[in-house]
Amino acid sequence: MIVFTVRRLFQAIPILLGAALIVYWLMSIPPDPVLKQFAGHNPPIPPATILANRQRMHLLDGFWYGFGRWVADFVRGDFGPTLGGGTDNIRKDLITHLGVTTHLVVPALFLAVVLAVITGVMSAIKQYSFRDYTFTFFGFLFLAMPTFWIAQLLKDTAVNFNLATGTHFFGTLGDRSIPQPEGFGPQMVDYIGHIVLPTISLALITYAGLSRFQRASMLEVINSDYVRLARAKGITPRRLLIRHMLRTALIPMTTATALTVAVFFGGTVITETIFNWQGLGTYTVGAIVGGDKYIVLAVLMLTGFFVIVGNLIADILYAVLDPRIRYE
Amino acid sequence: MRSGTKRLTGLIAISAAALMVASACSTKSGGGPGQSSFSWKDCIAHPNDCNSGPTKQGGTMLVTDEKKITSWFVADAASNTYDQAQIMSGLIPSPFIVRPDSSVVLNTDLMESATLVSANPQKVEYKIKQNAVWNDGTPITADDFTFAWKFQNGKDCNATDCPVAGTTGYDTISGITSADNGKTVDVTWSDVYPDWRALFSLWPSKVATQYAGGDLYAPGGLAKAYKGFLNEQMPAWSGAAYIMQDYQKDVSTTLVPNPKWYGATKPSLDKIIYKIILDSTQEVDALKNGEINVTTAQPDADMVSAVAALPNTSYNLSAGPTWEHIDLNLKNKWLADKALRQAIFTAIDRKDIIAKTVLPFFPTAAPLNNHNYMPGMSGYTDNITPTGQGAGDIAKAKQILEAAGYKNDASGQKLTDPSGAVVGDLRFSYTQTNKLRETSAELVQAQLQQLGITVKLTPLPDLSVLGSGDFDMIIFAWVGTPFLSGNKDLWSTNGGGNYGHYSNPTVDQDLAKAATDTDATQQATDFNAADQLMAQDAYVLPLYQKPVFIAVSNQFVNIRNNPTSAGPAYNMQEWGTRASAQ
Repeated sequence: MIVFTVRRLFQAIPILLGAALIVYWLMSIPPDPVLKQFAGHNPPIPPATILANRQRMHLLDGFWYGFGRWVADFVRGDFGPTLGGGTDNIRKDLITHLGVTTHLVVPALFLAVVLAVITGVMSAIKQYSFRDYTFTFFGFLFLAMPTFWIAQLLKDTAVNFNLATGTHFFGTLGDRSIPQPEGFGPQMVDYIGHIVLPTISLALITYAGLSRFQRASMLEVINSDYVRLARAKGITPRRLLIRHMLRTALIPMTTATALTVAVFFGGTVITETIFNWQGLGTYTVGAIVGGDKYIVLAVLMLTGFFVIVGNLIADILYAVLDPRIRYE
Repeated sequence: MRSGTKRLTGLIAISAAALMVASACSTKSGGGPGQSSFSWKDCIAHPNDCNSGPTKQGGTMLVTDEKKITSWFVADAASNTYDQAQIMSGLIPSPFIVRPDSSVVLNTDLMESATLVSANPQKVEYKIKQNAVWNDGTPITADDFTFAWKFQNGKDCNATDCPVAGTTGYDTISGITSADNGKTVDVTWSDVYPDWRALFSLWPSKVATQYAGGDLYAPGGLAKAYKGFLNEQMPAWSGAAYIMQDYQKDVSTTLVPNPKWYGATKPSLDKIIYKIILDSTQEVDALKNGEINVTTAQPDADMVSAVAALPNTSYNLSAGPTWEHIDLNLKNKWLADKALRQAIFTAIDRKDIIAKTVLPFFPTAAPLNNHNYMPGMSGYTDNITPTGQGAGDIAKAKQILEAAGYKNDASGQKLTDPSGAVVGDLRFSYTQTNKLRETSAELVQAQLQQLGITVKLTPLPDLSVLGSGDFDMIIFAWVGTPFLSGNKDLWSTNGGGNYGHYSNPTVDQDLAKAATDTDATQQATDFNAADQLMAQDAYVLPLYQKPVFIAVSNQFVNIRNNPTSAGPAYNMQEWGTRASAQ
């Protein structure tokens, strides 16, 4: 297993380098980000300042020299300059934004997976029942709802709730009030009031897809020969469900969840924007729009790493869940 | 086993319930907004003192900041944003203040006087108040003026080490002398610089000296000082009413009163917190939810309507020196011809554009008729109407074309130049996120089609094509200030902001003279002489002054709209909680 893990990690290096090269090329396509940054200023920015900023951003380097420099600097832990300069530090900022996104993603993913497994299994066990139809209806309903719409709807409802009750329970900006209330209890209430809306909006949409996945996977297991045999041997329904059916049915769910984690870390931008969380999504989109190529490259490395590790963990979990799978 | 009917009934019931929830959650539409909420109606006639009143001690004001903070050193080009400058207004002292009506007045908290004592060579005597000090008790003196001059003049510190946002005004200072323990500062210019009042936002030279390692003006000293200010995580210094207490990167900045503030009005607020909200569409909800108290977002009809419907909130829209315009690129083969440009501008109907863009939420919007002066300024004259441009006069536009030898082709759909060649398609570029500009572009497209000119709409993510010159027609705005000498660079040959490559030697001469006129009347005469020629040359068509928006919770007083680049923070020390309930 250790050899397998190390081999997989080494295999990831050329993949990440190839992806970085493509992104570096895409981000090198005009317009010049420094010209863009200073366009339309009145009075105009001095030409000498523009040139100095282009030099600082290594925009005068040739393509291959520039890419080689970035790789060498990256390996040494220097992720490159930003258009803003000053106190910007891509490595530190990346960690900060990753922390914010993790804060948002973990509870949402936990809620989505738990709900998806429970409802998916319950639907499959009683296929075509009222319960199955109900879960199916809501699954498709949430699947059809665009993130920006459900998030905005939740937000409007929460603001109206606050107004109607004269409270400030629900917060719509970030993960805490500023200024924060004093004392552990009020701070916890404040935290819950801020995290509940983005968690629900993110979890509902993720839950919808995963629950369909879990239901299909469970149905396949229920109709398999080995389950029929186990039933015939007189295994109790509870033991059959937990030990034999659910364990097998969780294997495809593991893959889906691992990929969802990777997508989450790069793609919660809509939820982050609507609830003003300064996470990885808004950081990345801001960098792409502004042409901050070293930030985009750093985010690519990070999300690429998550995808690779997520898939690796999924592969390892296969072996845990299914004794037939062994890695050489 | 359940019956099919029961299952169907269940599904219908769930669907109906979901639809009811959805319909119950839908929002109702509001009525049309006015230019100012009722309680702020006097802001239109009295922009400098509306929403005034006594304050009571205490309170926290939550203000939006729409940009991330990259550095607190707003003299740096990359950090020179409106939002950062607003926050730093609480810390950085300046000799002059720009008020909401664009008037420039002496900052009497900092200065005893600032007098132009000699016109040639230009010499200004600044007298700093004896009690004006930085927050560590160090007096504000000529040393701070000298530091501001040295790092921004483009000579003592080069652009690689000191990539400042501007050197204009500082680059022609020939010397600074001081007397009275540094409280009297004499500044001499080698050239005339009429906008001297715009200079000398001050940073503490004592802190700069520390960053420089002891000798600020030794080789490399200014570069070290510059880097020191650029890398400050949170400034610990202040020479104005507030000081920074807390900064959470990408989240918020907290200002508290500077205990050493020497001004006449002591801040009454406990805190001012600037919250970073990158998506301005979220600000109305935040205002409604009490998470912010002040927003200065870019207005549109929906947003103004939503704010107008909020209880306990007042708002105002004001026209300032920021103006929308259509520029032509004279490097374009067809647009190099003056007659075609005149015809294009004559066919464009500015009133129609205004009626379908800003007028629904900004009732006083009107065509702007000058490239340098705004209505209400003493130098404002109408230089556009006499040319017939912007009137949407298709018949006159056709006459101009016919007189110049242009014709319509056999189909009558295409315009041909005097040589018989079909006039090529013209790209009209606009920023794709700006709906008002998109509408303007569509209207221009329809108006020019009547001349046989095909306009291709070209939405862009940003304005970078200005620098590269990859545009034919473009709509954008200039952010204006009351300091006009810099406008020379917008219109003169090879000027830094002359993106359409306009060139007229007579205009260059008039602009050069206007940029060095110390007499305001003479300056207006020279700017307008240039402006009339430029209008006849049909290079830039002014559309309208952009409305600047502010919405404030009613509990706060003395905060008001300032549509100039100074913004509402120009009187931050006066902001406070209203003493009596409104």
